[in-house]
Amino acid sequence: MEQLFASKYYTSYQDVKARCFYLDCEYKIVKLSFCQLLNLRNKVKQLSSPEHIEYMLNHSDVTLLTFCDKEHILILDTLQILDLKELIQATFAIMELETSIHTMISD
Amino acid sequence: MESIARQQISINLEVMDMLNQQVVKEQHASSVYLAMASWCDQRGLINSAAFFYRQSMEEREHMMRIFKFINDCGGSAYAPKISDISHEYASLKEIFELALQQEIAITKSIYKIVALCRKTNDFASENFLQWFVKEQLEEEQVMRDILDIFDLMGDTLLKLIDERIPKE
Repeated sequence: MEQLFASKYYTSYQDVKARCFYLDCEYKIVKLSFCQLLNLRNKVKQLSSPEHIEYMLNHSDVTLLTFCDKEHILILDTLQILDLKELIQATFAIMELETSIHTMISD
Repeated sequence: MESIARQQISINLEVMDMLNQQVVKEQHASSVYLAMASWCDQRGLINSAAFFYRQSMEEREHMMRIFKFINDCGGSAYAPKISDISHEYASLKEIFELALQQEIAITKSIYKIVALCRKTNDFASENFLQWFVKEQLEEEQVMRDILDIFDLMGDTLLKLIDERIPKE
C-alpha cells in the first residue's frame, strides 16, 4: 500500500495490485474503488462550495457525508470539509502526475 | 504498470467536470425549449410548437450523448438538476431570439471544453466533441434563418409566419 497524500485529518493510499484506494479517517480506514473515489470527489466538491460553507457557518457547523454507496458516513465540520477537499484534490493531482511520469518514461 | 486512475478512466478529470457541466446546460436548454413549445402550443402556433418540441428532444439527446460518453470512458456522469425555467415570453420573435442566444451560449461552452481538451492532450474527448462543434453550427444557422423570416415578413400575421417555420 502506497501513500498518496496526507492532510491534517486524513490520508489517502493506493494499492495498485488490488486496484483500490484507502482513506484513513483517523478512527477508521475505508476501502474505495476508483468509481467510489470519483463520487466522493464530487460530494466533497458540493459540500465545500461557498454556498454550503456559508450555510454551515450560519447554522450548526456540522454536515453528514455518506459515501461508498452509503456504506460509510462521516460527521464533518467546516475545517474537516476543507481538509478533505485538499486531500482529494492532492490525491488526484498526484495520480495525474504519476500518469504523466509513466508516459514520459515509456515514450 | 499504469496507475489505477489511468487504468480506470480514459479522459482528463477537468474535462470530465466540464462535460458534466455541459450535461446540465444541455438539459437546461431542453427544458427551456419545452417551455417555449408550451407557450406556442397554448397560442395555436402549431408549427412553432412542433419545432420547439423537436428542439427539446434534440437537446436531451445531446445531453444523453455526453452523459453516456462520460460513463463509457470510466468517468462519473451526474444527473442534472434543473430549476428556474421561465414560461413568460413577450412575443414569438422574442422566443426565437432567445433560442438563438441559447444556441450561441452552448456553442461557446463547447468551444471552451474543446480548448481544454487541447490544453490537456485529451484527444478522445476532443474527437468526441467535434460532432457537437458541427451540430452547433447547424443549430445556430436554423435559428438565424427563422429570424430572417421575421425580418422579411415584417408585420405579417403571426399565423403566416408560423406556417413558414421548418417542419423537419
